[in-house]
Amino acid sequence: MIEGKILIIDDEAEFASTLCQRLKLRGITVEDAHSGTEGLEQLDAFAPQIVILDLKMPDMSGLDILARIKEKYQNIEVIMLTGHGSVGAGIEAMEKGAFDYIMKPVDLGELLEKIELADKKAKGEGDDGK
Amino acid sequence: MENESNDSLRVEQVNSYGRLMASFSHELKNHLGIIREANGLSSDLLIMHGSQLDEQLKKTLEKGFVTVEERVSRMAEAFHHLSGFAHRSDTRLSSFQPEQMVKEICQFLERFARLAQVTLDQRVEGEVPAVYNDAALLHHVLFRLFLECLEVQPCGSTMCVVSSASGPDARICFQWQEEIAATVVIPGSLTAAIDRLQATCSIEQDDHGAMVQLVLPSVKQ
Repeated sequence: MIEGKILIIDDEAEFASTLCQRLKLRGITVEDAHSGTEGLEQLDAFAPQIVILDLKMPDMSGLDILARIKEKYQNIEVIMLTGHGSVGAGIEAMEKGAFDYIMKPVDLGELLEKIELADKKAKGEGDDGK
Repeated sequence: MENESNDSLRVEQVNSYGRLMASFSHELKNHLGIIREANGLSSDLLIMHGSQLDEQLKKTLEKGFVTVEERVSRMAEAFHHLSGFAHRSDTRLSSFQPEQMVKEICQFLERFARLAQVTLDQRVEGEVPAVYNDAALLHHVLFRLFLECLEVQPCGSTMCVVSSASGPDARICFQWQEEIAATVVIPGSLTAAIDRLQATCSIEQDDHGAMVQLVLPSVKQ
């Protein structure tokens, strides 16, 4: 059971809102933001435990947002969404504090597994959640 | 002087193509992501609220959702390889697993084989050592070798691309069961590229068939 609130930050509004609806159908509390700026504002207002964050957005890079999240909210677990061919970008994000990363187009089953592990870590269960 | 200028212009051109392809592939992945989520949401809603629907209609819809998901998965894998290929020229030398590149080449060139009516088989035997080499150049060499080998394949035959270890080195073989290896000719420009990779290429033939093999020095060398 995933108890933590999730915020999806992705400039692809259609993707973010559809993923949001699918997670809601599974009983998860989730909101979406369609730009980096909007996402940072939502962090205060919505107070999520988990953020699903796109790596590349027009107004801010995902890595910059990750740094801002980790600076202000150390306990929020971040799962990066990457569209890159190499795993390098995802690994770089993990080195900068991301919990994990997932390649686009997202496989929902794989994402739910990662969310569950991030949720456990956010609740303080398990060592590193993996 | 003019040749040098032409060469650098060519390098710039290739880099531009790589960047364009990477960007295009990224864009298409976004569209695929939206298609997958929309399809998944429709499928979720059918599971949750489809009990009052006609059974036949429900089955048809389910089949449609499964087909879209399967095609999205295949496209996602193809774009994953395309992104890797497009980003390859970013770094001249890097360490990588050659069998991953073979998998990518086979995915790109499966259509070429299909049009030539040749069945393509690809497998990895044992543990393949990692190599430290010019990945973009190796990609080019494998692409050319693949096409040279495909050229001599008779219709209806099977060509197998095998990645394995050869002592401490990595070996990639294009092999088949017909005695046609003697007709494979490695062009001079390709031999020069193979030399630059510090690799060796040979054509072998025995009672079981024939093969063109490329042996690459591993990172342990």
